[in-house]
Amino acid sequence: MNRPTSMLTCVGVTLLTLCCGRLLTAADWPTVDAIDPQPAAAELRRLIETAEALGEPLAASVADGLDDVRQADDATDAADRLQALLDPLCGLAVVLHAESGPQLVIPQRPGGRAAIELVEQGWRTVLVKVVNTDRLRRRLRIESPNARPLPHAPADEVDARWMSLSLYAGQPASPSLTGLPVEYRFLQIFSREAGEQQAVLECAAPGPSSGHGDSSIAAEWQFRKGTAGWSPANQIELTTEEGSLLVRGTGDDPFMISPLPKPARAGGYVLRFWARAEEPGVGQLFWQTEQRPFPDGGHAVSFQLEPGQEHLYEIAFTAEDTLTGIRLDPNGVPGTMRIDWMELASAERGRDWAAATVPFRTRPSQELLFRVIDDDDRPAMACFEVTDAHGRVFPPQGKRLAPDFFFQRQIYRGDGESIRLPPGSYTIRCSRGPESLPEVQQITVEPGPQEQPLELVYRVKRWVDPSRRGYWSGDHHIHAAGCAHYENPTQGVMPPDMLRHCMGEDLKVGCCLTWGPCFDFQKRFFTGRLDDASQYPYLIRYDIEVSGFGSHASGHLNLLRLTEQIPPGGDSKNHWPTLGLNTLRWAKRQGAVCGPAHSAIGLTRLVDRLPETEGLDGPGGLPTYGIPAFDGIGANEFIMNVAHEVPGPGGSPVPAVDFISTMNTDRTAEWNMWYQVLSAGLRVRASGETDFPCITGERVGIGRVYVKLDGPLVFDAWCDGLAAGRSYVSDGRTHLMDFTARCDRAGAVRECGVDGSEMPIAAGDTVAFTVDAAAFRDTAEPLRAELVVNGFPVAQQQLAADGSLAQLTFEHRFDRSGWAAVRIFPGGHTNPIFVIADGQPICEPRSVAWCLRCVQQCREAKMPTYREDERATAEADYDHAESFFQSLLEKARLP
Amino acid sequence: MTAASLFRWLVAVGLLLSVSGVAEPRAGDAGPSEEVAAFEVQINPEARVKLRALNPPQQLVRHRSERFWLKVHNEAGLQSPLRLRAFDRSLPGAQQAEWFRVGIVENAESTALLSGATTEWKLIELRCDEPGTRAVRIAADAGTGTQDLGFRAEVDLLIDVEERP
Repeated sequence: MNRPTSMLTCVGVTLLTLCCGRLLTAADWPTVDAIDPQPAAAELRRLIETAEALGEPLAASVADGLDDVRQADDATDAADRLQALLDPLCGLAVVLHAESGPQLVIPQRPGGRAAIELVEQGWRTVLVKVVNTDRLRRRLRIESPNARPLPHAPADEVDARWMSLSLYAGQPASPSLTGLPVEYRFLQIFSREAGEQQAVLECAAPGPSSGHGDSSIAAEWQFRKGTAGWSPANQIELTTEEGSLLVRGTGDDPFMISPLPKPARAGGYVLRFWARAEEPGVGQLFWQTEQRPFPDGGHAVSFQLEPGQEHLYEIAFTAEDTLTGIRLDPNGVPGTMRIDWMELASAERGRDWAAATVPFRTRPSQELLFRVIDDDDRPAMACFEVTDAHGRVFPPQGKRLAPDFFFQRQIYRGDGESIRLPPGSYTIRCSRGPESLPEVQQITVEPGPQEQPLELVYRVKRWVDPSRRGYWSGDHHIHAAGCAHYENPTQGVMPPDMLRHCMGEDLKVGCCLTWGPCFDFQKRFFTGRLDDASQYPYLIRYDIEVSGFGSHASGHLNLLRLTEQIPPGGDSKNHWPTLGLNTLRWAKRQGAVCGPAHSAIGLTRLVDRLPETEGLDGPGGLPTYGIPAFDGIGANEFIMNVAHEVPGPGGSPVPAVDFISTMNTDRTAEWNMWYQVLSAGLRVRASGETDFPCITGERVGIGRVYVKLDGPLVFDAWCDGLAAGRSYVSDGRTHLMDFTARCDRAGAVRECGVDGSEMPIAAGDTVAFTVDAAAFRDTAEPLRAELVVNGFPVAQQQLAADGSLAQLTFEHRFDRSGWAAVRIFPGGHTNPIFVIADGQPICEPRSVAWCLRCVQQCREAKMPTYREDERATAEADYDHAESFFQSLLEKARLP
Repeated sequence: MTAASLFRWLVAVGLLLSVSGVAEPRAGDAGPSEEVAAFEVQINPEARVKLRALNPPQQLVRHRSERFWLKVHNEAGLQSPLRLRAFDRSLPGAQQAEWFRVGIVENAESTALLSGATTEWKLIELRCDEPGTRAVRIAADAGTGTQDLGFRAEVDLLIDVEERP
């Protein structure tokens, strides 16, 4: 449709044309003459990376031009080559000057000014050339009156506000202009509906030199270092926390005031602030001028509060004479509001702004309906990566909110759900977790109205399904907030979002661990039972990772199956013990299942070596007798904790640690720690985790544990199976099921994880081990499956990586007690079976000595991290651990 | 900052200022001012590292090392070495910028090892061996476990490198 130019647009164009920088004609397409080849190539490379990050890759010919630009003869040649590559892709150019206003240029195409192509109900990216011969390093702003918010909009402006704009300034782009004479930026544009449109685009790079009257920003308030000039005036308390202003109204007329840093001339202004009000109501803005120094009802404007959500408030008003200060009444009743930032901007653009009317053409989008059918004919959730012929990802990553995560290329959709796509050809990669066979489908979205939505039918095919053998996959460490997640507009994401991702990856159990960021928001999801969002057999439960508080510096702890979320003495995260073992004492008393997170962190830098062990390390340094620095947040204090028992739910002693996390950090370091404590005679099991989206945001369930249950999936039983080691850890593409030991002479059979995984034999007996293995890789090379005894590989078998299931058999003669497990490095590992010869405990002297030395190293590294009032307990606990290993060592060395 | 570490820090500052001429951070109740920091490293509780340019240099003199302050927020309490590297953004892949040197000053009073304190300051040294305008990417890591999403542990600099007078 042809949209009539609205009054707002007319006013905008007129005002801006009259008072702002020059408009250039399309024939004046700006160019620069010279730029050094090295920074020119670097700029091109960054642009390519930014486009990839936005899911809008540039044409291959652009990437191919990188070498040409870098190898340019001189600065003139480099400038020519760079601009020849990129200028044809630009929808807009901005020319900046330090002293005069900027200029906006629209490229000329055959037939006139080129309309920028947009997509109905979608975001598109437009390349903007920035010519910056004065080498300004300011922040570039591109805005539009057509992109102002609809809430609170005057009725006659609703039609005109058809777009949203966002100039991408995230990494790998830089927030400010780099200072190159020419650079390129991505402008993201959303269109509400199909048709021919136009909009006024405004741009500026306001800087400190603009001075009063030039800059459109009259005042800014940020709260990193205090209230930034705001004072409590009546029935109000102001505090700051984590860069936000916390406002608490204590009566029916709360208000706060702030003078402007500099008086601002008479005229129209907009006060913008990003805030979250907890209570409904009406707020008011008053303003003070030189002529009217005291606020009054004639100089006030009301605004509706949007309770319970983050909101951009924009309040317009006109100062009749010089503006000197403002007063904000956050509500007419007692209540709280958090304000992240505020700015007072001139409604009339200054000389440092330019504007141009730009034509757009929005193509209509069509609905694409997903039909997802699992291999048992049930409807399911699956993972889809949608790209068009140009490699652009849909929905656009840069504009995603949950349940779609902006840091992923894929989305998760269930049977009957849909997305909208503009006409075009698309490649859709479909999968349902690592056990499925991915497939690629091509679809074409036709232009014009369609009677029925286009359907994509995905029938899931699997190469393996461990759940049919009673193995239930789980990831004991995923997060719904922090790291790659956003904190605005919501503090992390919600339980249904996390469940959707688990279901789409066919991950049966997801342990959502609340931790430092957004703790006080996310803690509400802890119930001490499964989350209500769970849909059998997909279970999610909220528990805790001690991270960002308490004992985190000595190694993070995953606490699963808690009944109480927070220790006595507080209701948040600031009062937790700093000694990890004290945290474990509290958690194990509840019957929690516990273990360290991201184990290898702090274990990869070796600072010493156990004496007389040169040349004795295993292949590839696994195991190693090198002594780690214990300088990180993985399985560090773990080495002391494993020597302890603590009171369990009934008061009787239980091991302080149930498992060690594996599969998401340096495999050699994490498995080495596990091997050494097992070889010292301790019975810690391995579990698999991702630490999504901190270690990686690629997807949940990259690291997994598969726990075998005899009946249906029940979370408590799954945790018990994890702690008992009736399980294997995996990358999802490596499976080692039903690991079993058999000794014909002793007439004994033991399945891993049953009856303590203990297998009694006589010294000298030969034990046969079997495991049902399957793995799937892109390569035809067979994989090496190894039987590991006391940390060292003693036998191996080949396994085809084609997904076929094979029973592997190994044999080993045990002259002394030892633990045995099967691994396929680095993709999977069974838990151990403990082979006990003549009733003697497992006790490898070198491993015991290694553990003892590590306790000493950890003590030295971590003691400063404990609070003073826990220091004595910590010393005693380390003393106990040293005595424990010392005692084992003495026994091990007895003849 | 404990009294002992403050003393060591002041000694280090005194020693280093005498050779580098770098502006001294303002000590006091509020701690050193961020205004003198060229860069800031933030290590979150999960050991994810972010690097940010606060007041980065825009000019260097060819073949001359210059010192700047790096402020470190170490929420994870890591005690591992902090490492800075320079990459040539114009080259494909992650190729080190052979013509640019960046590192934490190592001497009796300054070390690349993190102390585990929530906030600490490091002196860093930058040097460029090529003249003209150069684009360099500085990356920070604190050992294993600093796996990062996207580009958060990197910052791009554009520096004008003048010939030595």
